[in-house]
Amino acid sequence: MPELWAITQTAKARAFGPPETLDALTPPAGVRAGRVAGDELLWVGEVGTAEALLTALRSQLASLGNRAAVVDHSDGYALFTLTGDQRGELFARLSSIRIPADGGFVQGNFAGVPSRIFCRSDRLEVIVTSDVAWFVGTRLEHVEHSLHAIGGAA
Amino acid sequence: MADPTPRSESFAFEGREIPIHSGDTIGSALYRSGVDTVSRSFKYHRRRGFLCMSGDCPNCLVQVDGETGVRCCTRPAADGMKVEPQNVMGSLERDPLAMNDLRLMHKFLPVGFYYKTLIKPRWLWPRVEPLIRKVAGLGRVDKSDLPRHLERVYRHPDVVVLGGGPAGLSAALGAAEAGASVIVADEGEHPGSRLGAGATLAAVNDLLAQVEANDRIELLRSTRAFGLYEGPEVPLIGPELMAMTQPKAIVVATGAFESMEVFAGNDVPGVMLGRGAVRLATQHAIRPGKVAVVLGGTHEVGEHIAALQAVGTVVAAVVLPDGATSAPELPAGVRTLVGEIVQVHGRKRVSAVSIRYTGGTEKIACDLLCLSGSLTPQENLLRQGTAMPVHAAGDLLAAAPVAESVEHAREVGARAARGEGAELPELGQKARRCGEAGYVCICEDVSVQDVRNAVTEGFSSTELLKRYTTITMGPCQGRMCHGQMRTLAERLSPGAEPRISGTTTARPPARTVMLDEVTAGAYAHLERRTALHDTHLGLGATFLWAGQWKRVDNYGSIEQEYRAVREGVGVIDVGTLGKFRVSGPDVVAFLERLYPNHVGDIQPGRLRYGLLLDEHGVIHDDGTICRIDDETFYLTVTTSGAEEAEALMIDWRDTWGMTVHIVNQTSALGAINIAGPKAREVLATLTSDDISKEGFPYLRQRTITVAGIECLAIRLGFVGEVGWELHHPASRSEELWSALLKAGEAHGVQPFGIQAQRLLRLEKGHIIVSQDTDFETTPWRVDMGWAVKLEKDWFVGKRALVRKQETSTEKLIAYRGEGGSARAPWEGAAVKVDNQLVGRVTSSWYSWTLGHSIGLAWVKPEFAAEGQRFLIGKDNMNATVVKGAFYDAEGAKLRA
Repeated sequence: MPELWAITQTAKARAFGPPETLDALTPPAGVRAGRVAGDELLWVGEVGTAEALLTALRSQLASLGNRAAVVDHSDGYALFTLTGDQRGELFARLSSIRIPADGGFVQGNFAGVPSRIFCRSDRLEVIVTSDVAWFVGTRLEHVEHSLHAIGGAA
Repeated sequence: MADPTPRSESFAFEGREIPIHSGDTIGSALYRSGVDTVSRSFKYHRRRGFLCMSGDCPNCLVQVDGETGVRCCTRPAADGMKVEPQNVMGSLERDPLAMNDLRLMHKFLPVGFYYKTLIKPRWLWPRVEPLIRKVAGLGRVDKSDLPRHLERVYRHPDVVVLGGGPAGLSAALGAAEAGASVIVADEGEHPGSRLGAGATLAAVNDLLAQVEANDRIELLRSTRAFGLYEGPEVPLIGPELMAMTQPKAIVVATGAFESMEVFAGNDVPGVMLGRGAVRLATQHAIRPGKVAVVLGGTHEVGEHIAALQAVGTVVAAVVLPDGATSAPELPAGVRTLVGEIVQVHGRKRVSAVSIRYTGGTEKIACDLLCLSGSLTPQENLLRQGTAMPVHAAGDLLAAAPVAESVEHAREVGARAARGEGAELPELGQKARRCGEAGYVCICEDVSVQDVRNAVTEGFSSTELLKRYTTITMGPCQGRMCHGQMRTLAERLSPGAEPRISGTTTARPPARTVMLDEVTAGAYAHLERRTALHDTHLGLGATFLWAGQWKRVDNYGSIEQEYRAVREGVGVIDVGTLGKFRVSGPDVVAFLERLYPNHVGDIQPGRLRYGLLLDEHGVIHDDGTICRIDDETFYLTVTTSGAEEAEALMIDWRDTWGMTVHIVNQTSALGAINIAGPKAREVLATLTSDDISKEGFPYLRQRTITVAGIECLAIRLGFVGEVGWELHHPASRSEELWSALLKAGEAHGVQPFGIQAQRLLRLEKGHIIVSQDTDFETTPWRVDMGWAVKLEKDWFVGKRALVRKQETSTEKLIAYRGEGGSARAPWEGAAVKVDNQLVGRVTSSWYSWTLGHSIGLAWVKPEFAAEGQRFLIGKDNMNATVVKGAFYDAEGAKLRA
């Protein structure tokens, strides 16, 4: 069983619209928001809250009509939670992304696939498409094994 | 002074047992055991002895337990190792290829001999080349030596310091004191481990204690940098990891080594760089020679003489260079001469040195010549990074006593941390001396005479000399010879422009790098899986790669799967299709530009096949265009085409400045195709929606509920039977799949894989993009002009298609094979007419329904007419060009 990471079930919603409108959206409490592109926003909430996320987004974007779009992407993304003191080291073995010291949302290559990352004070949440979840899991497993085998420092 | 103690361990060298003392490298153990010649040279198989003892020169390359190119002077010795010399045929002492070193043979093996000798008669080279290849090369690859799976780690320090000598450690401390996070990498297991006792080692030990106590500094031991890359990015290879560091600034403190001097016999075993001889003496308590002559010139020569004397070496003379104005401080009683070394005598080992000095010429008997004449900066890395925020420190910048060097390096480190400008030395300096005889390049056996010949032949500039003679291209990568080459180039072309003797370009790798190190962390093959992967495994599926996807090849019997679809019902996982929701106020205009056929007239609830073209009119992908409502479309593209299609669409959307939302739903949605004459009966048991022929006709789509799961059902006919693609939330794929199989049990439902699908679609004459098309395939070439509407004002690829309308050089045709054999030609098989090659097969199957082979093939246009006959493959199967689909040409079955 992995000790440093786990796949966490969550709800994910994507919203598309004019940048200034997306800038002004307010996520419900406890929901992580990441700006994926100028016209795209990602909200991640607890498992089972997908409908609530979609409703919140749709209501806030309702005035835009078809100039905005909202989709449930809960099945499309897998979220890996990296925890523990070695989470940074585990992450660094699979990604060249510099984790911001003050947290936040970053994007880039993780384990060879595009990823979105929420950097939180006690964890890193790495989101990849679900079709590569197995692959990313095996990479994490392998790296965790090597971390245990040869120690944390390079 | 080190006091190595014998250990009860040993390794084998050419079958001889070599005892190991504590702290031994392979090289020191060999030297202690009296091994003078450790390897042979690349070309002439001249004897190679220990020279630098620091891993810089090419002389001590050996093969260790199957690993080639190991510098044995720095590799720690271990019990049970099997060490073999390199470039040796037979044994080190009896190497028949040593005859290459006969003066006569030199005439036949000048530099670049493979360009100008053995070329005529023409039959000669093909016979000689294998022999040359057999004897050339560095070591023999052990094919059983599997590569390691090394991991990679990324680091983002403020400053990376390369070199853990006194300057490097001091620079690291300076940077850390200025607030920077620092990584310092050193090639030794312990920084300073290659130093003998003395002021330098004392300084290193003191600095090392400070570094280890500093939280801002991470010290990487046994770690080497092999290049500086843009970014900057510095790959650091350690014993178990490759650290890709991306610092803000780099301090290179890789030090210096004594210059290789050029004179007759300069490569004979027993000629050693001063620091190398001192390492043997002070680190391993080995007497490097009984009697030594020392070529002086550096500020360290006095220390070197003292170290040699301490282990019992008699220093017969110190030779100071001509023009030396101030003699260094030397131990009392040492004879000093001012002049130059003109020749080393001896074949197996140095036996004497001839010196020309003010008073004449003298031959002094000795078995060791120490070269401490001048220092060459270890600058390979530095020269790679001149356009980066790179600083130099220590001997690399300027040779100086250790205290001065440490003090200055601290300031260099602080400047690097503050992002201030760098102080760099003059790079690629010419050698101060280069004699008229001897070897310039000891990696590749290039002599002064070889260089002279090359210049005579017109290869006068350093860049040409390098390529023609291979100077600087061997294992030392120019460390020993770059400055000497520049000096010679200048001397041999007097008055020429500076370019002639300029520096060559320094490139990675600066240090040996193994292939498994280069691929560290990159060995894994990206694999995409659908939500049904494990379900397929449970059904006994075998898989194949389809791009990055793993798809089901078959479940055991392709024929059974095929027949189920033709005669009953089958289900296939098509979740790998690229799937997009595209919407927005400009979506119709966008898709009209993107697709070559009409989109605006597709009514909601309907769909149309569409090609995606590039600007050259070449088919990029294909799929379906489903109109959900006025401003929302659902598009599919081929398996593995999703990422490229998404990039293509976003690129065009941004170029055209349209308001269109492109949502890649490939991973969010699963898709299952149910097809076959009984598909409707099975599906009807799972849905209350109207799926009758009239209620849900061919080429329609709408949302229906199947087994309680909301699906976008798309009525298509890729396999030529009644069928629906059911697109649904991926998390419910397993549920839907199980329901379909259960409902179909009574009708003999069968899951089918890619192979059955390929035959089914081939019978319908459908192409597979990238199997039946290539990077030149336009719709014209595949008879798909019906999918192109040139009357449209504009679409991607239109101009090219108009231009290419009449210029096809190949056509894709369908053929029917003759004969009842169930064997079909290989895909890729040759198509022949009158024994001339006229094309190649792209898809080939034996059709169980039709009872003969069928296929698609590219042929020249003149052979594309219906009825054309040709032969296919090595079995010369007779085949005839046919038009239209092989199966259900009218489409009655799929419209049923």
